Amino acid sequence: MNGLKRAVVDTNVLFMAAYNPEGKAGKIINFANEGKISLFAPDSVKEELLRVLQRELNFSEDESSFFISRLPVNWVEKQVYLDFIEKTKVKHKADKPVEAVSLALGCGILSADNHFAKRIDVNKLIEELS
Amino acid sequence: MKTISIPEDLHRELVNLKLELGDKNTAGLIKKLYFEYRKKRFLEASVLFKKKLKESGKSFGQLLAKSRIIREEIADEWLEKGSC
Repeated sequence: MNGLKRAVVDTNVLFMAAYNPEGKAGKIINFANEGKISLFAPDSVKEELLRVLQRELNFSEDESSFFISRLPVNWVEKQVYLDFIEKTKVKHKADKPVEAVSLALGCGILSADNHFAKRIDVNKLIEELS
Repeated sequence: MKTISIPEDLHRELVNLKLELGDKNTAGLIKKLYFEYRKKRFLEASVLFKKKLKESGKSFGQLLAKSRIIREEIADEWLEKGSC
């Protein structure tokens, strides 16, 4: 990884970036596209994106693959983070994969949800990477 | 370092662009072009997302709320009760 900054990115941040590429979430995605930060997410986030796009926004399979392929995210498979699920502290079961990946990789979380203990301050991160 | 072969006219264009953009070397220029390409790819996805959201008649807030429900559904399917 050559000391490159790493973070786990949550679904809401990815949607926010797509909705407003000029906003803070969009800036984070730009930094990832410029190679300034490596973003990771569990495969459950990818599945969530796919189901939301297809069910709620009527994306075809091709369109959702197109969308997902344009996200600068390294997808982490369940086998990699499964052992860390039981070490997570977050209350909601649905948030555990995100925290488990952050524990597995030893990095913070970028999320709009404030219940993650290892949540990264987005403003500070933007300042740091600008 | 690796070497790639490119046609002479493209080489000339890259050197001119490098001078125009003030890059120290061609590798830096190519890196910059690659980053811009990646940003453009993401913007294309963003355009599609906003178009589809508008067509759906849902607000962005409603979409995030639906996403939350779907996340719970995936957790129920993927995570065994005993593992949490």
